Amino acid sequence: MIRSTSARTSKTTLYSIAVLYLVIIVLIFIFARQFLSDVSSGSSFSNIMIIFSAVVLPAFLIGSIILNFLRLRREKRSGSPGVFFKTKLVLFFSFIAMISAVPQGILSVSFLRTAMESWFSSSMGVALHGGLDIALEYYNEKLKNLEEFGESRVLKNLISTRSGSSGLFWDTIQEVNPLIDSLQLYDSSGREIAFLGEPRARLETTPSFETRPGMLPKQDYRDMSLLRYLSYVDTDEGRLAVLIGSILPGNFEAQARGLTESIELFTQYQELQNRFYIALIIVFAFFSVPLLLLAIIVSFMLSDEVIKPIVSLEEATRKVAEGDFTIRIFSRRRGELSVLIDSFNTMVSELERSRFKIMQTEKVTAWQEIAQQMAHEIKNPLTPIKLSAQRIIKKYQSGSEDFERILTQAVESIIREVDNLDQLLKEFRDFSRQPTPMPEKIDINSLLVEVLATYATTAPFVQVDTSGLQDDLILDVDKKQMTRVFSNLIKNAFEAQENGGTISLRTNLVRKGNNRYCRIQIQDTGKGIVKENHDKVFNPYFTTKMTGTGLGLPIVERIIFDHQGEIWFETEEGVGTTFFIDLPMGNPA
Amino acid sequence: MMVHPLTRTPRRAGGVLLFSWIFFFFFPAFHYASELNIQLETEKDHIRVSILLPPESRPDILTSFNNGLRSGIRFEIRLYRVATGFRSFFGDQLLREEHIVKEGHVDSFSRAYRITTDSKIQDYHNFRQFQEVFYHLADLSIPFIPSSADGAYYILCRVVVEKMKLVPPLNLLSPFMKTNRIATPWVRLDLSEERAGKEG
Repeated sequence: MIRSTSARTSKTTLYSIAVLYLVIIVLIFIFARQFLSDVSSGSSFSNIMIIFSAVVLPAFLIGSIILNFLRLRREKRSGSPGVFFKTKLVLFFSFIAMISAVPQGILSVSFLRTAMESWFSSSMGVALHGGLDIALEYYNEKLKNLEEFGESRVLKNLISTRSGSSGLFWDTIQEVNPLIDSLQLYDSSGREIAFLGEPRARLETTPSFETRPGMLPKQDYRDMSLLRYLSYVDTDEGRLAVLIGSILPGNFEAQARGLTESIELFTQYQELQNRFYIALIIVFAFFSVPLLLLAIIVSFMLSDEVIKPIVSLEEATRKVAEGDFTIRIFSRRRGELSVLIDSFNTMVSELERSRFKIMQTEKVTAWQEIAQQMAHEIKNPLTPIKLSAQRIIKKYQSGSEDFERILTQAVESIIREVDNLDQLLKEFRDFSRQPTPMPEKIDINSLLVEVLATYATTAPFVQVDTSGLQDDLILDVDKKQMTRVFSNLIKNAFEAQENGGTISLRTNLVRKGNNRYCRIQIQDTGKGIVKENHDKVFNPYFTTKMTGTGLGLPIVERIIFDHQGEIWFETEEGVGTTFFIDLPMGNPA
Repeated sequence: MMVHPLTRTPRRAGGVLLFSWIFFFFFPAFHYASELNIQLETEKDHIRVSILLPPESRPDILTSFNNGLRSGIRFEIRLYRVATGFRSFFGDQLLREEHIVKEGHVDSFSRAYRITTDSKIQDYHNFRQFQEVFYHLADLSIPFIPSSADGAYYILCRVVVEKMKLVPPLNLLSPFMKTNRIATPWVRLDLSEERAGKEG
């Protein structure tokens, strides 16, 4: 059973990404707030946050990406399944993240630029400065009015000559100067002798007579600001302190401050706008880079998630191709891939059933063929045995003079045929009871050369070429069985060289998918195999030789099959035949 | 009892130094190679700190004022306890951190140099007077009750001046305007000697 995806891994990955994303967002939020308030006034805690988000986090993310890239490179070198698909997915996801971030950044900066240029247009500057001028003019007008009226003879005359009710006196003052909101009089002892006008403008404390005449500091209250002017008037009552006041509207101070700050912002913007946009791009990139890096990490994780079922499928398909029909893929996921996996599992089940039926059928067919061949092979010697026996009886009954000679010949013939039958049955037993291979480390070249030597002496007219044998090919094989394979093939090769020629042995390494094989070639320059016999070469009891049993090559094929290998041949009439054997080298590279 | 700065380079507080180094690497500022005038007074349950940026270290802020802009100054004080044993690996323990911020500008209406702090506004018609107040942090009281008799404590102080106080969102430029922001090095004052002197 192969697991296409581990549910626990997927969830862990998902949670990790979510937590990392939240951490980045929180850090960016803290960092952005710090920037927007005042980046230079951070507390030590804020500094730690800044350092973390500016240095540690990107370093961590970059480190993770480097590790993932190294892992990908290692997988690529080892030829892991799905690695090219994974590389493409990573590049694709990263590219998508990048191309989506760039227009977003451009759009944000452009929007901000357009908005700020609109907010801080030159007409806005004129309006702001105009507003400040008007406010200053209004303020100065109030000051000037207070100063001039406070020192005017009119006020002093009015105070010196005041009589009657205070209401009438205040009406007179208002008629002369309607901008005055209050008037307070103190005698030389500091006692308040009169207060006229707006009660809110009343000064509760007594001004010192040592204070020089002039403007008093502006006083700000919650709902108003108050300007006061202090002067002195000599009257019959003595020296009087006169305090006249003028009220500024309650929102004047706040509005004036707001206006000043707006002008300050406008001035700074005019001076720094170019640098501001560059800084904006840098800051945007600074905030975007961690997210972009996170996107790349996510692309690695997603790629892993996507290719896992594909890799499982690939692995399962390979195992099915190798003949393992028990393989199934387990997947907890739902979706198109799970449908594909279900279909695959169903297909393998069907294949297993079909294969079982085919094997059953083939087995029956094979036994039928073998039975027919056996019957044929057994019948062949029975005829000469029967003829010999009949001949003995006939000669004996007729009292033939050469009965003794005929008897000897006939019995020898019967013994020969019985020997043939015995040999036939022995090989059949070997074929049907092929023992399980007992692998051991064998230098395949040495074994080939050793077998070759035993036959080379019997046919000195045949040339032998072993220059194509590659050194250091150690295989786990059953030495006895492999000796039989090589003996059969080399013997056949020598027998095919009736008129001399060359037998060449070659070995080399080949790769099939992820597996390495040792390829052995045994080539002769004999007459080749006729085309109509190509399909029968490995059939039991098929032989073109007078003395052959027809079980040599089927036994060779069986041994190679038991070693998870493969055997085939290439032949051309009049040119020669080459047998190829691929034997697995063990662990994949 | 008054204590004057003995050293400019902290011997401990490696963490602070590291953070400062990285911070300044990313947010560079011009350092004036001068010392702060610091007065430190320890009482029973608090310490009193006064800091003055000497005249030779003061930047030209009049240009900002003439352009209708404001300047800012920040006094930073950190109180540490010296870590011992295993804890020293993580640096000294920050017990308290104080940031006092002042802003200065010329007020068009009062035609005076104005200093704004969190709670109050002060106007000065004389630039020299303004400077004396602006660059001076007077008698900042920091609660301080040592948790153990044998503990070693110290404070770190520095002053950061922004010639042109950037207003949001233009303060985004702060890290990129090296010459606008000046910061004195951290000055370390050990409290152990001071306490020992008092107890003696």
